[in-house]
Amino acid sequence: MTLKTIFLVDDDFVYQFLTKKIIVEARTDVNIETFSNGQDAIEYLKSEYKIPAKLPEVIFLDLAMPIMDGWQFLKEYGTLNGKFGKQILVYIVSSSITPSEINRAKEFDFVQDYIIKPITKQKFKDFIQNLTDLG
Amino acid sequence: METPLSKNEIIVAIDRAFRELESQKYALDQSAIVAITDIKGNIIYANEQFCQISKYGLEELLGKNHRIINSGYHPREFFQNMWQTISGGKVWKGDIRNKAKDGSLYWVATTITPFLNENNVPTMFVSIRFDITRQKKLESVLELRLKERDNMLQSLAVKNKQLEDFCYIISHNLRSPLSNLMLMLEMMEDTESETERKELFQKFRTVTDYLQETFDELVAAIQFQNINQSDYENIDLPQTVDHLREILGAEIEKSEVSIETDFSAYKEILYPKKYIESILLNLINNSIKYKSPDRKSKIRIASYIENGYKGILVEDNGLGLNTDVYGEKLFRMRQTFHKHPNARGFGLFMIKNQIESLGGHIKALGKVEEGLKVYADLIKIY
Repeated sequence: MTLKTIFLVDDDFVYQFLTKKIIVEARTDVNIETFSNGQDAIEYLKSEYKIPAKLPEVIFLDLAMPIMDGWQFLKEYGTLNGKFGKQILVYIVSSSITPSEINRAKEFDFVQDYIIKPITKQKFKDFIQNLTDLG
Repeated sequence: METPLSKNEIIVAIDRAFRELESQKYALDQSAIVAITDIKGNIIYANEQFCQISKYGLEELLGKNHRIINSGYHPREFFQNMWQTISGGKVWKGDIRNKAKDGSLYWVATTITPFLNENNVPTMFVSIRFDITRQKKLESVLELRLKERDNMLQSLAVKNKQLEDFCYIISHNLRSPLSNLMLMLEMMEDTESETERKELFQKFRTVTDYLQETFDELVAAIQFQNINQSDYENIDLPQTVDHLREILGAEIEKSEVSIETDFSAYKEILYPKKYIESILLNLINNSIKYKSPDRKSKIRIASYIENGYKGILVEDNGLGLNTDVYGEKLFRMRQTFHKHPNARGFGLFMIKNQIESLGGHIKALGKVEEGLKVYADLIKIY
């Protein structure tokens, strides 16, 4: 898979800024779109799900967000999954190290992994390596 | 055909029957409390055990009505039902609390059997009783213990929930700015560029300010939990609302909200004043903040007594939200639901803490565009 676009779904502007920086430094060819809550992201996906060019390859999803949090997003996303014109990989990126939340994330089979914040240079490198391994 | 018994044989048979009866009566008197009354309930026989437990002498009991040992514990219907049963010629069974001559109370498992004449009409009542005072005491101790255990479990469940909430706060509200700081430090160490370092440094303030604000709010929420008996006072609700109306005067005027009250359920409540003011202020503030731009805003504040709780309802016709979806989350720290510039997600979190620390609950009901009803069950009254 060629990584072209990543969606960052997170309400924390400092996190958005820092993570963008990390990603762009590692991969100048990757385009990043940000959404400040689950609602905005799901609405976008609902309206554009048929157009592969407008969809990301990867979604980095925060859990604690206003208006619509990560869990609700995952529930809504589950009803869309399979209708997309391409494969999208969903990763949870959260500051929470609570086992109950990490386990709950595993209940969604379309969630690839649970990444604990912050996404450092090293973590992003590992993530890219992982993508390559996935083929 | 049998040969008829001789006179001698009949006497022997009757004599044997009498002796058997005597032995049975003796055995019964050894084990049970026995009394016989006429159909009006006047005592015509009481055995030794009856005298012992009731602490009356036999001569004091004979001719007296059985009510002499009534403890007044059972409702009138209880004895009405008993009399109906035995007057109808049927056996009655039940546990009765009686009062002895010295005022001490005792419980007896009782069976009353009416003796019937040839027309099946009762002529006397025989009561056979067993002392179950000890069992009853144990029962009530057990009941008390069970109730204590239930209360303890309930308060543990609340504490557990608060711990979970606290874990959530640490995981999300505190750990996420921390993770930003960690990342910024790492990036500052890595970079060679002075401009980049400066840019990162500026972000530091944003994050530390946020951290400090979160800490201050957390401390405020937790400090509130130290409430003493002396903090409780009789709160006059109409007066309190009038006072808050003055405090919020400018806000109310600016947003053109009308506040209606209904304190017909009750007007006064024993509650810490700073809590009741904080609860009402936060709820009214929320109703003002999330008013609908399409309607003239109305807020209704009412007292209620429901499910054993004295509570307060704050209802508005504002933006509302789907509580089926958001429910519990409404009361989380820093959880906001509307794109409002001043939404901070602290007020409801704090008042939930306050209410729960005093043994109450808070819940919200609403639908999008149909306003919100917040029910605060404040104190348990039964």
